[in-house]
Amino acid sequence: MSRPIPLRASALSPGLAAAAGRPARTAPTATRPPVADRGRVAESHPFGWLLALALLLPVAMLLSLSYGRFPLTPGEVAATLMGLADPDAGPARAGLLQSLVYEIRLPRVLAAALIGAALAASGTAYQAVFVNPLVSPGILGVLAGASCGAALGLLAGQGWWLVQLLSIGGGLAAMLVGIGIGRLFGVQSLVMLVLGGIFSGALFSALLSLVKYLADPYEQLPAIVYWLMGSLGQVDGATLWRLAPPMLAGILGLAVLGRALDALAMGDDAARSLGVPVRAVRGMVIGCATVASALTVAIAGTIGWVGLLVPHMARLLVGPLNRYLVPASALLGAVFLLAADALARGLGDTELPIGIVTELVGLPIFLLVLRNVRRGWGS
Amino acid sequence: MHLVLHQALGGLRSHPAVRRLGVAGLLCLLPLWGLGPGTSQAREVQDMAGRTVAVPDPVARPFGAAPPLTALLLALAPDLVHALNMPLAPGALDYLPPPAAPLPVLGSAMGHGRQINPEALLAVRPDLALAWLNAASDLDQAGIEAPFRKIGVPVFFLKLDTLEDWPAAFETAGRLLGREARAQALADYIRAAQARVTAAVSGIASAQQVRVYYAEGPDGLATDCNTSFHTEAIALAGAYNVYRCTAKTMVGQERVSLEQVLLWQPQVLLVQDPVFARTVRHDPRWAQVPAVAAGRVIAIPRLPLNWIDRPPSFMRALGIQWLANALYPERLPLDLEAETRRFYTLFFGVEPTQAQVAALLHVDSAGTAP
Repeated sequence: MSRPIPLRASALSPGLAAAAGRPARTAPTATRPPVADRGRVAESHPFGWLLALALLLPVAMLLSLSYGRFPLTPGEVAATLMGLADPDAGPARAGLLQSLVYEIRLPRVLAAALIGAALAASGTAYQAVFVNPLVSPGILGVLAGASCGAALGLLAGQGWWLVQLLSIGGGLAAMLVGIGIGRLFGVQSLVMLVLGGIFSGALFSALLSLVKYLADPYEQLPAIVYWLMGSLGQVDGATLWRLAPPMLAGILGLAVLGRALDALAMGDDAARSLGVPVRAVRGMVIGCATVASALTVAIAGTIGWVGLLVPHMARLLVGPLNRYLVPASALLGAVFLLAADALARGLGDTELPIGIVTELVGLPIFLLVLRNVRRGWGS
Repeated sequence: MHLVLHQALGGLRSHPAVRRLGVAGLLCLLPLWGLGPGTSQAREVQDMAGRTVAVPDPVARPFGAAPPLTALLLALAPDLVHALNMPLAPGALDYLPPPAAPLPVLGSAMGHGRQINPEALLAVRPDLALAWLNAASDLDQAGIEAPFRKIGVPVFFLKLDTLEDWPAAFETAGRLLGREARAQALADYIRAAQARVTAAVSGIASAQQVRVYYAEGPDGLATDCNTSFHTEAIALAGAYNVYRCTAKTMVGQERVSLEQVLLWQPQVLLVQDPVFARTVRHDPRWAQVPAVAAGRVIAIPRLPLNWIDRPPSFMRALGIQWLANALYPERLPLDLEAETRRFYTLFFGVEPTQAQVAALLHVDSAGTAP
């Protein structure tokens, strides 16, 4: 068995080994975490945390719904959500409430939750597949491809449907290029896959720069630049209705594959001996994560850091087992992006692009997480 | 690495032998200059930045260094336009005199968008670059001059911050190009149009001004401050731009949220993106915005150049009449079709057909203009 990625998840193995009823020594480089920490990780209750996060998400969504530039009381929002019209308010106010809650805020809140969940779940899954804690959803060039497609769509100026279509197409094309380059050299290894991803990311970043350069500097260029910083402001119900099902399917797929990912973390040979179809699992995980993360770009542009940061935060809560980690990441990512979006739209008359918020807020949190991260990802 | 190379080149350049070679090289290029129509004498003129520039007399092959300057040349002397800064909008050529040869796109010197390749510029043999003296520019004057200094083309700055600057810019350029009479006619039109609109709307108390939201970008959620040069036409037309602030950048297009737009309660949506102007009427998210509820969504005509902004040009002389008429028809009655035809005939020498005017004003897609 060859493990091509030098940075590896030694700490995954003890937990897995415990789960599989084997001594921790099966992981050759498992020198960390110290016994006390390992005990804590193993004895923390992933189910408890999962339940808590699952309860936190609706609360965060309700809070987001009652927050915005337009002053609405939480009571009004709740009444509108439950379909109760205030008898004192005129029909104009009722229409306004209906529009604000159902047409403007609800799609935005749902999109934030979905995108956060998709990015965090894909990040977690990629980190597990590549056995590398530094991997983010951009690893196979998917985000670069989707951004390039979206920019092309903005250049064409034919409306949002084309932007979304080209964005999804770009993401898939980038993944195919990445995998194709990996295959080209015949070796079925993760290193070749990573190199293919780097190639495809670089290719589509260059194409994106070309599109930006050719764009009309007055109208198209600012639109593209803002799109690349991420925004949830333009999300509408129809878009969400179209794109949410495949995204949800991707996230659920990743959550279901968590158990297989756990087996994969023990190494290909060990996983095979447990009866796990290694290549099929890897392919499915990459497929699900690609669809989910490409769709986030189609809906809201590029939003950085969520896919790298949130998996680490979730790992601190529920430990390294992917069967808990993937759903926990998804829930935590949703809450994280809801909070970031609240900041993005609440700071002033203008909207701060949400990609900037996730990076500025995410970086200090990442430092805090890094302090504790050795417990989960010893080296 | 870059620096080292630079120093090495600098060292080479100061070497006497190389300097002599450089002069020889320039001498080799001299016959090329002779190819230009009518070699001319130079004269010293002061430009609008206060610099003294040695310009050919008359200028035969001017190059507009930024889109507003190229727009100016397209109106003043379309036969002297040999290159563009960015491609014309699709369909723009229907409203312009047909160019003698296809116009190459060479980029502009304003700090963003396509940059100028000095060699490509040299190939169109310009004898003067007209540059944009813009208070909000991303580049300082030296940065704007840089590509032209390399190929020895003089740079002449024209001030174009407001619509009011345009008549003087036309007159100055007219003197440079020997087209004084035409420049005078164009300048007179702009002055008269601005005076007429100002007289019509100046008496409106600010509380009575129509509240306008300037919707830019494909989602309509980008806008510009009321004091930005991008929105000057809105103020000139006597409207109240709901976004009150000082612009942060030259590019503008600041992002706002739909809830903020709802809070502003705009009575009219002034829309740049034609696709958005069509879709917003049926968009449930925008339904509660008073302008959309009342059906007062105005799409800005954009051919061959935008009437309001991006690039900010002399088209605003027609744009403010159109907008003031749309907002205050009783104060500024206007036969829009006749005025449009008059403007296009005067500025572009092409009289648009009835169908072309209708297409410009979006009456086909928008139903009724407010």
